[in-house]
Amino acid sequence: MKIDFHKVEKLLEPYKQIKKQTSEKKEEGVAKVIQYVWNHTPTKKVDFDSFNLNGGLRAFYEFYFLPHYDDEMTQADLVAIKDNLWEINAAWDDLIYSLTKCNNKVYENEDDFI
Amino acid sequence: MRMLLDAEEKYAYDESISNFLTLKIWHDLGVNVKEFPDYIVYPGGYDGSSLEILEAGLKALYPTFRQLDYEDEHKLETIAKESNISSTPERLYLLNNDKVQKLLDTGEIDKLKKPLSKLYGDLTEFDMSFHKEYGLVLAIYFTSVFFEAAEAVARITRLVEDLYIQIEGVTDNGLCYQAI
Repeated sequence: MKIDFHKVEKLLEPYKQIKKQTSEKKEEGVAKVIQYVWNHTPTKKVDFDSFNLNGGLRAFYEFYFLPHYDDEMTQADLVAIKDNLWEINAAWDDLIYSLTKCNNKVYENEDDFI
Repeated sequence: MRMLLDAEEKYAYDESISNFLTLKIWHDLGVNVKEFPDYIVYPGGYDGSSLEILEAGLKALYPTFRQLDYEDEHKLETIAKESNISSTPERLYLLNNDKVQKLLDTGEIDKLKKPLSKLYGDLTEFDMSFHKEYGLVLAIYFTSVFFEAAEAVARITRLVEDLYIQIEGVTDNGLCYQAI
């Protein structure tokens, strides 16, 4: 049997998958970066392919522009903190912790005398 | 207000995230960073890990890595002067590999001088230049946020590789192209 490859190619054309070009400015994995750093994940366990550099840069500057405790803060600063990605991440962590805690799911170690 | 940290804690995190980004930049260049030091810097603690991460990446990319600091002050000053770096830096890294050396020998490196002069950091003070003998020279003025310097090195490394491939192509296929 002979296969006419030109014909096959033509027939397959409508099913061709076109790869979308991802723009370089896309910030991917900002949340990943924040979680890795906030949880102090050791370098060995970080998947460096799960985010791109722009996502990392976004996470950096988001933190960099936070005020610190010794700064004099205005009301606007306090409002701004609430929308900060790091603040949102920490708030989620706290929420999940409180949810697991209320069902007596945290096992306390009796030997823990500290 | 969970993210209202005191100043020292905040600066430690600034540095930690910068280290994390440095690891990402090295990873994107194909360096295996799994065995690199951890990126977290603790407030008031030993802060060597930032430099370690930067240097480990430079070593992986440029095997003939050499660093000069205040211990070899005289040499540092001379090399800085020879490579047209205006003020004396805290540290000087001499980075060289076969590709950079080849570009230096053929004089093609001049093509990279313009993009090199455009690299600068908002948070990190650094300077880069080419030296006839020592290859790529990276000067670091004192700071602890290094990811911008790493990014600049990454960009130059990629440019060097592109230019190297171009030149290799010409010398290998030059006659062939001309014949066509």
